[in-house]
Amino acid sequence: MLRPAPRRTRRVGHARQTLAAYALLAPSMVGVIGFLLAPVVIVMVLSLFDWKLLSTPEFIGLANYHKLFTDGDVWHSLLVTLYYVLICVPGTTILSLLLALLVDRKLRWMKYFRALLVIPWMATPVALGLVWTWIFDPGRGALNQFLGVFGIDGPAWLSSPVLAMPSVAAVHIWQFAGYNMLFFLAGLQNIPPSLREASSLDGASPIGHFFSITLPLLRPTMLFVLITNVIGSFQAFDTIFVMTEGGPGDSTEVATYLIYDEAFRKFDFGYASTISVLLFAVVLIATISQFVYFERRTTYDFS
Amino acid sequence: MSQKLSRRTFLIGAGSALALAGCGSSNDGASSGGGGGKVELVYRLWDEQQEVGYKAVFAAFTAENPNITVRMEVLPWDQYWTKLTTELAGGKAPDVFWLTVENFPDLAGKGVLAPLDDVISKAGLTLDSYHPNVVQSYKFEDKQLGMPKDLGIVGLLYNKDLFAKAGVTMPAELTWAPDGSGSFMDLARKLTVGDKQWGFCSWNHSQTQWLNWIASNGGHAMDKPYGTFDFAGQKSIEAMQWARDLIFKWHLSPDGTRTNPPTGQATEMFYRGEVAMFPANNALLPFALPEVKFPIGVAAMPSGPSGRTVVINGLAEVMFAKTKHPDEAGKLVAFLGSEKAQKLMGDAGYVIPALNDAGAGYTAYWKKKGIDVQPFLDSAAGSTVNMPIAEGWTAKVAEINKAMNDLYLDKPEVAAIAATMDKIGNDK
Amino acid sequence: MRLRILPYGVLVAGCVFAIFPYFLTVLTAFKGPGQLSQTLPWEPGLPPSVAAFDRLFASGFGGYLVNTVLVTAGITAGQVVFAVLAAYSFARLSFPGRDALFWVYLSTLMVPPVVTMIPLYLMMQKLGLVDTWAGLMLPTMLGTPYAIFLLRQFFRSIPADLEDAARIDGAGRVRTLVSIVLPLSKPILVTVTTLAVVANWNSFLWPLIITSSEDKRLLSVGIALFKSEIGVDYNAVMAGSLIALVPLLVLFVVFQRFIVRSVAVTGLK
Repeated sequence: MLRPAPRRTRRVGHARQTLAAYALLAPSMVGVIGFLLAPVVIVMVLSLFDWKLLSTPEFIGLANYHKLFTDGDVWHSLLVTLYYVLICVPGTTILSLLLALLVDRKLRWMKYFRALLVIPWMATPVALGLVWTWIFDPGRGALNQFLGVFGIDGPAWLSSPVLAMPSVAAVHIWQFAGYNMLFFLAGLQNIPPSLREASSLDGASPIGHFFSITLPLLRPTMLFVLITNVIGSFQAFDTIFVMTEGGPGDSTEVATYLIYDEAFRKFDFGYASTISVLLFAVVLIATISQFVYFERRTTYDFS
Repeated sequence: MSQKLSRRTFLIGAGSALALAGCGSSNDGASSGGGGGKVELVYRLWDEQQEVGYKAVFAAFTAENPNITVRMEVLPWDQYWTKLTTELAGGKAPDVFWLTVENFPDLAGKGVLAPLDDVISKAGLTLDSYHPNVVQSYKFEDKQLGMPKDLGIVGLLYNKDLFAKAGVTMPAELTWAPDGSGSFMDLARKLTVGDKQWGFCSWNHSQTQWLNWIASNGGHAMDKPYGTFDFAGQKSIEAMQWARDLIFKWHLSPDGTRTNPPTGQATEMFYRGEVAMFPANNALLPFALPEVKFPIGVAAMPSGPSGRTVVINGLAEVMFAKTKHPDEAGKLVAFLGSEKAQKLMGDAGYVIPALNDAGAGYTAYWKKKGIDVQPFLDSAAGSTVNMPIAEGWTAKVAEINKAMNDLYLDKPEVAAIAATMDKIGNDK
Repeated sequence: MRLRILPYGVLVAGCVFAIFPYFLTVLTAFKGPGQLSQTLPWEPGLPPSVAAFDRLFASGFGGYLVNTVLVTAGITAGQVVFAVLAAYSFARLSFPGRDALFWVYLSTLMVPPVVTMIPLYLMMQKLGLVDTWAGLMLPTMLGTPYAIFLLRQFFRSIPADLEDAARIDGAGRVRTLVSIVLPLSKPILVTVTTLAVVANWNSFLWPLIITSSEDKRLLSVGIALFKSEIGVDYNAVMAGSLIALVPLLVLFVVFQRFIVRSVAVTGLK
């Protein structure tokens, strides 16, 4: 039986609560505000400067932003990033949810399946990039050899402007499906057992039960997974840096790669900061939207 | 209860933060040590094979200068530049570090590299003793900003087993021409067998591939350092077209889908015996030797219609302009340019020293390994050309190389690719 | 019976897909000099060779391993403790600025690290923490918004009745947290710890930027050294990544035992 969280706890001892809250938050505030927020704020401030890294910063107001709005490369890279996000997030989320459902049973060997599925996420970035490059190699790569068994002549995955992005996205999904599965597993185990299995009293099929009971109860987890995956894929960098360097052409030039290029190759840190602010705004809007959508519909208390 | 908790937590939090901050020494990436006492210099490089060689060099240096020790910092190549840039943004850098020709322009005019002319003359060295191309590469506005370290010259490596199987031997001279004639072409044809073995590999690598063809055909990538690019010149386009025709017209080489950076496997194809002839910088030898199962032959690059001009590329050691120990760092730089240091690295087979006539030990080392590297040295004494450089080169070179990928995919017209490259290079 | 096969089938396929790249890694790690060019990536090198591992340890890999273990343990311990405190605060307490602060925390995740790394490095320079353990560990040791977000979601889903009951009995916030909430949160705590361990273990860019001395080098940087300008020592890179993987895998399998459904939740009924 579900009932809303009691509200009386909010009124009692308000001042003591505030003190207690900030005391508990203090260490993390030092870390987050001091080491995580401060650089972000500095980056935002620097977007108003012209800083060529090896010289002193010069205040130029909104000049960088004027440049930004007419810079086709930036908008193109946003589109490319969006494309990447739209493949990775649904792909990873659906796959990891499916895996969690399969693995969350008291069947044999589930322990080992879980461990094996999570291994991709534990990979060293350098080695990972190299191995996938081998797999995608048109001539001797495992993927094309595998397709060859079925008589399919595999294309040049990473050299094709059309296929490069899906290939890189596939590596992302490979890397993170097992990882996100862990969150869904934890979420599933948080649901009281009485609500987990479809009972004959429901009259519902397992699939119906899943969509009407389990999935809504998974919303807190789903919110977390979606938001962190969206943020994570907007920030994707390592795999693209190793496997495609933004190419072929600019078909995989995601926003973070453009930012890296501006900062470390063109030494235009002011402009790189400006693009970062734009990216930040996009991600923030995406995150807020998800929060708004979910929080309205989410039940947190399952008693 | 909450008040006690808050005080306790605050004290613990503040205390630990202060303690941790105290843990940090004031070692901020530059050197340590007071005046007159022991000085530790920081030397940064990206080759962990050469690190071993440099241990001997620095041992010799400290023997001559007991109050100076050198600490080496090896970084992965991909991140070398990122880290250096980050440090320079804060006004710091290692005392002495490696630079390539391609990264030099972006640092040259910014006051972060110390002029070495005085250091060199005080140590009794002259710039004439080094290969002129390498010296020139690190000069900026008449000041020498880099101590020539080594020279990398392009030669043609070949697979002796595949040659034996095809019943051919490497002639003394190879020739090529844009129309497809020349002894080089005939040789490559004989070595191309079926669809798994190619006589040659024509791929997107400026230093060992297309810059050489352009120069040997009489073209100029650039009229002078920091000058104007001319990839769209007629001779340059002919050379580029020839590089493409090797793949798509005469089928003597694998195409870009297999060789284009960053995922291309061109070098690996040579190691595997799928490619019979492979142009390479001599610095590849220490990496190639352990990996191949065939005897490696070395020949000079083929001569084009304008003769043989090969790319020469040397690294330099530079001194940070704001180092805390300019005297000691200067001594180190001078030592690194001395015959002793250069020979130590050359004799161990790592690199050809930039110092003239110091390469005998290098040749001897490789002879013992069964590889005759004389063609490299001969080419270095012949007609050579430097890699082009321009303002803002770090960014431009990345884009130009990327544009060149299309050449090996048979897509836009060569003229269009060349025009794009000129545009990128000449863009102010 | 047929219903059983389908889930197993999908799982097996999933595992093959997940493991295949590692299969290649293992094979390559045990190939000796020259074998890489003679075999396809999925063919073993015979006889297997540990030459790559020798090269790694000769270059100081043992030290990197020790460093990584210590640094990971230190950062993770701090991260988990402080994140739990912060998340509980966000989840259960009501105070002015709560939601704003939570969004501030979240927003720090939205700017790419490649660009925040420069200001952070400059800050560390001013604090004199460049090339120090403190400089390496402090930025994330006091709790990451990621972990705090995750824990907050889970703390909110625990029935408030249990905590109310404890409060009525006179327990303070911390006691409630420790004796009621945490025991119910074992699955998520294990998950957060695992998440932190792996993220810190494989952390690459920040350790590379902030430390330079070889005595502070971590595994991730040590492995990257074998990819140089001219060539890649594939065997060493793969061997290194295997060495990096094994401790994580062992830890994960051991922790699996603790991911059990919490009995207390059913106890409510």
